[in-house]
Amino acid sequence: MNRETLYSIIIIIVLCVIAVGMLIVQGRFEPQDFFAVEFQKDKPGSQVKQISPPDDVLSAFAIDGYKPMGEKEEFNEENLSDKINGKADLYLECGFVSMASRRFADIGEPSRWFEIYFYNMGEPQNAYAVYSQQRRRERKDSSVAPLAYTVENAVFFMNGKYYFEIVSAEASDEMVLAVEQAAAALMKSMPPEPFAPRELSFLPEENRIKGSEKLFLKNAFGFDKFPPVLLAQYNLNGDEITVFIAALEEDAKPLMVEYVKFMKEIGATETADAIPPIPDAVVMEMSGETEIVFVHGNILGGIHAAAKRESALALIPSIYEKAKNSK
Amino acid sequence: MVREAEQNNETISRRRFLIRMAKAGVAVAAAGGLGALLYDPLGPGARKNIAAVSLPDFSIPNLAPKMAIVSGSDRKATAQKALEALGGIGTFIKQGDRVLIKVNAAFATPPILSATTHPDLVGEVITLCLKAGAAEVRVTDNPINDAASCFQLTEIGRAVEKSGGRLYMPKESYFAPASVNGGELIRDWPLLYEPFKGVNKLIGLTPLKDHHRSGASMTLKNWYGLLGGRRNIFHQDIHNIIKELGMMARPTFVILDGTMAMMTNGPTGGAISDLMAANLMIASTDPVAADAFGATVLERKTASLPFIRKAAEAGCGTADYETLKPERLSI
Repeated sequence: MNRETLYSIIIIIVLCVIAVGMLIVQGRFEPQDFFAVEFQKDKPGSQVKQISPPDDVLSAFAIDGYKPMGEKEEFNEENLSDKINGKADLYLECGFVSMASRRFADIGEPSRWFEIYFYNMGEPQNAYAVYSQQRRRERKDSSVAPLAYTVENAVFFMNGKYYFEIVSAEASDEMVLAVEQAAAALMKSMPPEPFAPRELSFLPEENRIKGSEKLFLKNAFGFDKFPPVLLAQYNLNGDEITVFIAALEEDAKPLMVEYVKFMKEIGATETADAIPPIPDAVVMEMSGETEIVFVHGNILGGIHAAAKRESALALIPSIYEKAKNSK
Repeated sequence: MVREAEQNNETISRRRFLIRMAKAGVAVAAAGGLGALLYDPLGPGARKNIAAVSLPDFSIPNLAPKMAIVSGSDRKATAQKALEALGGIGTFIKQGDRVLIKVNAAFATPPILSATTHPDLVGEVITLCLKAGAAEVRVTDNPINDAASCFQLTEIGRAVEKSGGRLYMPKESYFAPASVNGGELIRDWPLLYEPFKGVNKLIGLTPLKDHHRSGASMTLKNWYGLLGGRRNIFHQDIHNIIKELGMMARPTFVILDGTMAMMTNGPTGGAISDLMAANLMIASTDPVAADAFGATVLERKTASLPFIRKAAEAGCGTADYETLKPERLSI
């Protein structure tokens, strides 16, 4: 037997061994991977990567008069939906990294409990996106943390790249106080990092409804070419109008052209009879609502789905002027 | 000699070349043939030692679709009234029936958030079924994350115990692969099947909620909690999975609880201000009709919730709920 033949036989034997090995491994069906209920396998925390401080703050978190109801739970992008179901998509679309949660009960009255949800969103902009998209209309500002507000049973706030919800099982003043104390205690574990989206500086304050701003990182109005877009509500003589603004790295005109094309594809029609006194603006109408879009350099802005066209036309010059005069 | 010549990089003979080509051809054909032989067109599926199951139709035969909408804030009273309007619980539950109630216990959150089926409603429906002669009333859901906490903190577990029902907490052994006839998504998919064994009536009890992905979470979406496995992959095709859930589960009746409707930030909510006191209880034998009405409470257009149209087209019910001439009552 010559050397080539020997090598060939060795290679074939190795390939055969690999094939048999693969057959054995593949033949051992893992029902957990394709079949079984996940909660048996995915005990909270089982899949989460190493979490570093301050993400780990809930492990040793304590507040006077309350005791932990159980261990801290941790979730990653694979199993976040196990905890919050369909809401997970909102976080995943905004750069979600990890979430930790833990419940605490009143030592004297265990039915009074609250749960802390501690989201690491990777970047302050991402945290602001999920914070602002969920911000409740009926709320009271709170001073415990940046952008904090309370409702009858909870406190919501963000700090840097973190977004927090502390939700109580009871709607009462006492529990609001308790969740605010918990928020204050959490804030002690990290330096305050207030955040405002840069797009906010392009919007005029006059007539803007405070706290109405929502940041959409992508797909605003279903248009997938949009960069992050900030929406804000304006009140003009009783009419509530949605204004949007985006700051691009490059000239915004091509994007406006694309957006107008997109709007027309979904049924909008351009109206030539109502031109606002600003350059490069397009006015469209769809389902009886008015859409206005303009550009100035790398700024793209406009009004979305206004019920009254005259109100939209009255408001748009001030939006344009601010965008034009902003750096 | 030939081999020596080859080894010395001399010209290979035609005969030798053909023999080698033939061997290589046989090797390639054998490898390909083996691959074809071992190829599983279905891919990794359900466990082979478990027979696939499907759910029977639990609706009452020859009963025209009915719907009732009752205004009021007392869930027990409105649920009772709504069922009376459908002909009374006796129309649906007979002596000796075994009933399964599918609740929404998806989250370990308190009842005040209305993210889960309210325990008062669960308790009342169990009581009504037992009064009507049901031999057993089971209650189940597969919340995935820590089911015990979900049933405890939603207070559904306590309501079931107090009213004489039997709670079926999900276990791995309770699941069996199921397929939906004509379905494309639910094929050999793990279904929480054990609680269905021996059952002849199925009731869905659902809170009326906004839903970030599907637009709304109502009676059709409620069956999602019967699925196991990595069901979150279905969120990518949410409207079709809801349609298939409607095809999979044909209930005896459903109750959509709009007493405190979650208008925003669903399906988890978290703030009382996410809720609106709509004070409505909707009972229906047609889940599609119930959902179509529920959409109006949530101030959604039916067109913005494609699963309603899809479910109607699949024969799960009608989106035109007014054709059921719903009884409108108040407490």
